[in-house]
Amino acid sequence: MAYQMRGGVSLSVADGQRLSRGIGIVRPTPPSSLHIALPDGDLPAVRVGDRVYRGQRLTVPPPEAAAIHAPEAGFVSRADTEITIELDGTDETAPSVVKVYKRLAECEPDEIIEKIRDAGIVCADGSLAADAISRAAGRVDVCIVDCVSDTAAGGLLSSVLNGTKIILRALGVRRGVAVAADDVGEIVRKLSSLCRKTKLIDAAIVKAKYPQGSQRRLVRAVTGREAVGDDPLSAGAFVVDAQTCAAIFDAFVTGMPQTKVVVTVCGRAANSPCHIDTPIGVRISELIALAGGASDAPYDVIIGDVMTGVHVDPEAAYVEKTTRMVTLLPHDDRDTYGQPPVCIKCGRCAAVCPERLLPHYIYNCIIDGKAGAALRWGAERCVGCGLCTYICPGRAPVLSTIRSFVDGVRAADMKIEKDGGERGDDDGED
Amino acid sequence: MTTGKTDMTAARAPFIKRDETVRSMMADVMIAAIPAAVWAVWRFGPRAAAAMLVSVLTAIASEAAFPLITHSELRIGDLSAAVTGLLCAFCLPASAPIYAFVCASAFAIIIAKCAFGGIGANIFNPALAGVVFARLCFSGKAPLSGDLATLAAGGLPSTPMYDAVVGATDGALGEVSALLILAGGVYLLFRGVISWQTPLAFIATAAALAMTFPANASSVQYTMYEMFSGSLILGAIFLTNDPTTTPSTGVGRLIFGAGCGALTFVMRRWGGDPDGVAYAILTMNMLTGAIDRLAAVTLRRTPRGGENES
Repeated sequence: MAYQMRGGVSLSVADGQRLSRGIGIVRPTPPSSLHIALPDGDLPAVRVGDRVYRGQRLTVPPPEAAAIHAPEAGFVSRADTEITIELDGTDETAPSVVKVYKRLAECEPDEIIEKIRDAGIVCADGSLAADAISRAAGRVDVCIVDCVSDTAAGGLLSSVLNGTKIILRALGVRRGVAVAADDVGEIVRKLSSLCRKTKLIDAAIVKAKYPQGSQRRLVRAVTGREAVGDDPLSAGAFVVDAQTCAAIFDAFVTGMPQTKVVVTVCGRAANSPCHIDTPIGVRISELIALAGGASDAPYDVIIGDVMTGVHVDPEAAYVEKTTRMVTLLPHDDRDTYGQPPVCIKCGRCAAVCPERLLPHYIYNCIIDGKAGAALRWGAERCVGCGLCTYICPGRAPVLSTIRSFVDGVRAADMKIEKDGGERGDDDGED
Repeated sequence: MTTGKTDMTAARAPFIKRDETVRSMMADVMIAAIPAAVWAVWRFGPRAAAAMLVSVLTAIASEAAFPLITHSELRIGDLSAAVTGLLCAFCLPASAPIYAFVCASAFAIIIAKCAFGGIGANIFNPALAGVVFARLCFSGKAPLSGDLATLAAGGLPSTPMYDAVVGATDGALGEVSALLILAGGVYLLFRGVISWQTPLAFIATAAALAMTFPANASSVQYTMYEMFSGSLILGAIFLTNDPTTTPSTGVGRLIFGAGCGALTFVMRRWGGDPDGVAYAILTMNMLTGAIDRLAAVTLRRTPRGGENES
């Protein structure tokens, strides 16, 4: 019997949330140019006109950020806040790309973490994989691999499990659990048969219910323990998404740093929903075309899933290391139905809230300007899953109201902390 | 190639919404009320139809007129005013004068709902507040079911049990046919508009108390008559499932329903009102916020510690 969380809803496939059939991955030829936007603080390590090779490092990142590498060989045509590479179709690999020749059992944890750092691997939540692993080492007794949020994991399962073994070695932990949802039969079968072959990793199947893939709920499903806030380490568990594991395995067996991701292109406006293996830097509009295009009617492009994604301009957004899903939705306006938004206190939101909050009480307190009361009702425990807003029959903007309130409170807290710190801090760095 | 629309103003996660809206909820309540309304017309004649129509129109007109004075938003499109008007009519007998229906509806919308801030902000069930107001103002002209008075006095009503269940009896327009109201309740449950907790707790508590403290020798018969006379079933299905004035958690709804059932029975058995449902629900309405708080504090608090040993 699959584990079932409290709260949450089962989203239908028609909502574009999941691909439940076909876990195969499409690998089309990438377009002729790749665009890599540099985060603040990253400096380009290449100049316009340079020839770059596959896997060559392109940036000089600050210590807490990941280096970015060239996905394919080509010429640099722009190198400032964005690096543009015109691909020349050759397949030359940089000399820095070397695989690990040692057996895993002979690798020291530090050595593994360094390799992961060199490969510039970034987790789906944007954190640096190497830092996340070294932070978790010694504090956890289980490594949980999330194959729930990302159905593309199904086509990468053997890499995912091998990558998990590498992480287990780096963490010094001997128990891995790969979690999959029960709505994709092919993943469940494949995962179960692969996990039977290894003692280190177990398969766990959970009921397909949003937001089961969030870290807190995965920890709960696997260990029964409750994490504090968003931090699974507080419950002694390390949670990592499937593609990060696969990228780590690739870095070990091919030496290639993380330069590609598998993006699920789906949604009601997508012509042929699929998993597509793509280098980073592909323009989203080109990715959509590679994935079979979209309907003729106007549609919205969302990076991420329908519940928490971000609406983007497909011409100005590119595939990044953290991109896992692009959702295409017909541009219809279901936000209102001709009536002003209202909370009728029906409690639908309370029934689905995975944190067991009463979102309508928090919402009404914020609307009435009662900040203290909103905090007492647990506003800061909101995880932003968006179900309250999804289910609201009054179409009240519950999530955005709570999020902007919490952001305001956190900003004020940080300001107080900073002011207090300056007063109490003898070293006075400034 | 068509490109995605790049209007970034309204787009905010989540990007999908469930189809249910306040309007669809209210439309479902109206649909669920149709059988009982048809029965009322069948039983009491065209006068019942006129009364219901007047009530609904008065409610809609009041809801539309209020924003003219306060410059608040016009909300007749969510159909909640129409539902309130219909429920007002359901709670008054056909013999009541038409102006009693007008008064009940107008009071319900203007005083009990809009003056509190409109839908979502009112404390008392508007329909019930309007009905109680009308009953107090025109008590002589709006007699209640005679069966209840007989029950309270310790006798058994002359109406056969079968008639009491199907509604071949006297009483307010919507309350007479318990069976058709229950049918509407099943529809609402099936559509997910109402929850099972309040009706179940309401009816079960009242029934258990009636079995325990019967006013005459035959406790089973007494309980059956108590259940199917007056507005108990109407209250349990339509009046305690107003989203705004009832608790929003499952446990809270159980407490609320049990409280309504207990108060109804106490008022019927030992109090001055042979029906009691309206006053019981209005009393519990006052406790809605407190019940939600209680449920949240005792049952929904997420453990904050993360150090549970496994």
